[in-house]
Amino acid sequence: MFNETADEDLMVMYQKGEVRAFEVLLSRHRKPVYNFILRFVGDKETAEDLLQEAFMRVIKGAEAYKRQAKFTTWLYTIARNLCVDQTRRRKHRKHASLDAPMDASEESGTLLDVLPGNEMASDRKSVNKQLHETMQRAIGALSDEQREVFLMREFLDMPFKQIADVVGVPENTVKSRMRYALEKLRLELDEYKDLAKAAP
Amino acid sequence: MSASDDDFGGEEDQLKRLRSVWVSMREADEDPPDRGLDALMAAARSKAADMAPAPREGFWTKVLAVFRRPPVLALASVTVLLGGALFIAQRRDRMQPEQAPALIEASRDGAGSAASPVPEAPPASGGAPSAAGPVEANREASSSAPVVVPRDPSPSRARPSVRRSPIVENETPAAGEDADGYQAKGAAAADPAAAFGVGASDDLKQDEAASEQTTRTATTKTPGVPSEPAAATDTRGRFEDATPDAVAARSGTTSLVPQLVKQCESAAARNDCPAVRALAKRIQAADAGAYKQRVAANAAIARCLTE
Repeated sequence: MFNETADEDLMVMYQKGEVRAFEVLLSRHRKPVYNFILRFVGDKETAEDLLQEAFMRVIKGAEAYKRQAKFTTWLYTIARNLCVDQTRRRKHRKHASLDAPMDASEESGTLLDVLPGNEMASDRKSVNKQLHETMQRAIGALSDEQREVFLMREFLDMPFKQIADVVGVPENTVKSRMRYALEKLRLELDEYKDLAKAAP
Repeated sequence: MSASDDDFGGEEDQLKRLRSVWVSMREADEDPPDRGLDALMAAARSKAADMAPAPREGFWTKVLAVFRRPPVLALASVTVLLGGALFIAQRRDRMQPEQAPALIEASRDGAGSAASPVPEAPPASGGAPSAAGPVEANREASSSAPVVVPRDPSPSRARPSVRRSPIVENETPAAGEDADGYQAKGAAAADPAAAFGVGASDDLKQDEAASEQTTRTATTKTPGVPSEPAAATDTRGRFEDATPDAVAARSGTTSLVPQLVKQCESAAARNDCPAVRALAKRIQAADAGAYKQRVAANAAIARCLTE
């Protein structure tokens, strides 16, 4: 019944006390939001907590939701703010504690450090895994502003306008951040062009 | 995502190759664990219950809710109390005049028999006792308070001896003792028999004289008691609407009807048509059935009525 309904309509239904509408919203957006958060913070446990918190905030703020606002913009704004807060706290803790686990973005190792070269072309699955890990590291190496724009653009297929709404900056700034992010990723992955070509 | 949207010029090929990497990464998106999902849904249900609009109330439900409020209940209680008090007060006002005419009616019944122009039974079969009987009953029933006899000389009104009683028994002089004086004072105008246009019997006259004497004695005997005209005014004012018809109609007593019928028959036998008409009118007002059966069916009465 609710599967064809727009997110905004579902949210209005939930405002009227229809719990099933919220269930549909949850099932529709739980996975992409979780993966967005996971790629942003790079930690599964933190991603689970933040996902829970993001939807809790949706529930708490449901009364204030206006039909004119795009639901995904609101949802990803919440998720993005949680992620930004989390990364800020983590950076603060890193400065304070020397024995904290190191973030992937700060690792200086290359793909050669973790993968033997003669095995890459032979095993596609293995190549894919290597590429994904390399890409994840490269994404982690981006600044928070570039990373959030890149993730929303490339993984969530959001238009620049919506990204600008979520992030709260002009659309041109979003485009500029995207350009820098791609440039950085290209440089980061340049030495692995052949590996990328081998990928399916 | 369209390439033109990115607008990255000659680097497009490189980007396409890079994109192929993260597109493959998207396919490997992980499902989030179900941990915390129950808590989330419980919170969602709780919030939904809070947000759910209250069911619309019907008009009567709203009205009931309004009436259940303490100020409205208090106002309703006060209204009921005031209304009850007013009702009881009105009822009492209405009952007082009703009770008094009933007493008068009872006394008048006796007096009416006494004032009957023709004895109910022929004199041969004890006419004198029958004429005096009701007077005696009236005397016994009456209170000691003096009541003024109306002095309406008009025979057409046919209100014989309505206010003749009660009579103070112990102050009643012997019949005939003051009869001359009574006649000399022109009290004949109050004679009920005169109202019917017929002469009253001697007993009746004596009774009337005794009654008048009683009234006069009571008036002159008691100092400080209002004089006769004042008492008359009071009494008349109190029983202003206590005409026989009205009294009969109000009290609803039909015991008077047979007596009236008898009187009517007697008047018809005497060929006293004005009295017959007046009595017939009263009977009709009091009991239409009796009027049809006994009055309208009586040839002598009907003759008088048609005249």
